[in-house]
Amino acid sequence: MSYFGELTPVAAKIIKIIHENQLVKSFYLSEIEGINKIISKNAKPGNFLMLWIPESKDSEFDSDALDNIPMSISDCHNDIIKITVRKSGDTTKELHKYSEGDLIGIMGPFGRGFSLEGDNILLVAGGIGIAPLQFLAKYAKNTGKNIYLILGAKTKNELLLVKEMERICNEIFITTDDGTEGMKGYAPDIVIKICDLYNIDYIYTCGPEIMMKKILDISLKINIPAQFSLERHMHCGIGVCGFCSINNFYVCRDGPVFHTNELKNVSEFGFSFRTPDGVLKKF
Amino acid sequence: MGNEIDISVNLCGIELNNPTMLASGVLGGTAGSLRRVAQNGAGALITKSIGVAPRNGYQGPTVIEPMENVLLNAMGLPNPGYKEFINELNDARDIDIPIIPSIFGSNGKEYVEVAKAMEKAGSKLLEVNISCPHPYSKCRDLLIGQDLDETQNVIKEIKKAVQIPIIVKLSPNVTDIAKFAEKAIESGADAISAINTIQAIEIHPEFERPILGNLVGGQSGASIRPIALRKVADIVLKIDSLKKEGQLEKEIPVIGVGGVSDGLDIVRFLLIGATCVQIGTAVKDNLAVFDKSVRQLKEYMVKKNYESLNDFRGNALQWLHPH
Repeated sequence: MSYFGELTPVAAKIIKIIHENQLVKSFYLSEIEGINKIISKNAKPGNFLMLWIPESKDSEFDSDALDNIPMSISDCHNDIIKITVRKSGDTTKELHKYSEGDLIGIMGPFGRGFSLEGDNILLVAGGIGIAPLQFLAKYAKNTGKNIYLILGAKTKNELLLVKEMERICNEIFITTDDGTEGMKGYAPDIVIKICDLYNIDYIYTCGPEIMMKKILDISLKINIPAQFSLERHMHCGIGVCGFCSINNFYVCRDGPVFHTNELKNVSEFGFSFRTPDGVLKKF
Repeated sequence: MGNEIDISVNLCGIELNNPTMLASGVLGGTAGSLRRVAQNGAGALITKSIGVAPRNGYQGPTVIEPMENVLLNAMGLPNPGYKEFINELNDARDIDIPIIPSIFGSNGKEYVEVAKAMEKAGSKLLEVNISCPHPYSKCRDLLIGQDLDETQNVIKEIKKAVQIPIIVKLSPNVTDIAKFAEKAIESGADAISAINTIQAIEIHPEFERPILGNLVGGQSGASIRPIALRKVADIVLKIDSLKKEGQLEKEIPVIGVGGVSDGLDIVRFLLIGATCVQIGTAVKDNLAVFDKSVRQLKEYMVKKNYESLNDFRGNALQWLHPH
């Protein structure tokens, strides 16, 4: 494996922040050091960064809680990297306190991204899983693919990037768990119907693993290949520590994007994950 | 070609089909990961260091590469604890090369607890990681392996508690590594591996702070290979002199660790007297580094007309023996 990127954090300036919803902000980043903007120049859909928050904006905050976390790239254009971040752990909460003009550290781009195949492609996003799929959709649009999207969320307020995706996709189908917007139910519920209607020949998905496991089962059942963007706890992100393993695969270096034929024999997929200490837990 | 070449190694009674082992701390924490490395041609696998209880390790960044061939890490011994890890070892029973647990503790009692559990679980050999914080030191950076008395205590306690042989992995961050090797052997070590990572730090000019989450860490990678060779030479020469003086009767294999990334690096460590080598950081660029290095080792042996590793092991030592 060879990298075309940075393996030590380089400073990047937050040049724009968009409030996507209550819990999610998008940050537009510009590398201000390092070799010739090598991260943005090499970023491909499905790649991720390791994101370093070097200091807390809050004087009472215990800076030991800050970590270096993997973050998928939600767009990259003209040397500007976009990340779309849901406030969940200590590091993402801290990042949400950052303002335009502040600096953070980024390493990357890492991992094997999506490979673009098919002519009529279906994207299936659950929650924040839309982030890497947005980058993929823009890429696919430029190569003339027909793009269909199922966008799932728990509830209307948590739907993300709807307007942006409407501009890119041929059609969008929304599902919410509680029925407050679009169809009541889960994203996988309508996959088979949409594949039939639009002659879908390739599926791309990112979201909760239980949802992606359903997509894998569907992919095998209706014999349409799919790619899945996975998540595991990562310590190093560069294929050395091995803690992101899922069966014999490493999510950081073999993935994060995996294909139907790779995942069909992976017993841990949709079933178990590892906590930071390496203990195997059931979903 | 190559069929008549024997590159097997007997290490403390355990047969390795080639002289490469996965170094501890790299990819050795789960059954699936160990299997993956085995498929890439390693002769044996040292696991991630395992302690008494689950540990998350340090906050990130945990691993960075500030320049080519220089890797800095401060993982903080993340591990699931021996009780959970024994499940991984059970899952890994299909792997047909030796798996050698690396163990750590914060005092002798903890080492003994883990060592006994591993022996009971069927392990035939252990590696003891003594690069762990010193339990009674006020200096936060002092390691067990930097204190001769503490090194001796830990090894003696483990040897009292288990029958299986132990490899002691030495820290290079001492004034005279040969003294630590001597103390380890005197305390009962059956083999020595060297070196662990070299103390290091990297500073970020823009953020004006250390980069690693733990602030300080250890350096590995191809850049440390000449340092590791020197330390291994010092240890091998010490063992030779102990034997000459009649203070040591049994063979103490030395395992070379540090910056090995190809077949000639294996040759280099063997020429200085190492029994075999461990490979760690080099997996970053190429998981197949084991297969590749073994192939290159065989090519070297064919070119030189060597049939076994003993034909050239230690050949470079004659230059270093005191006159």
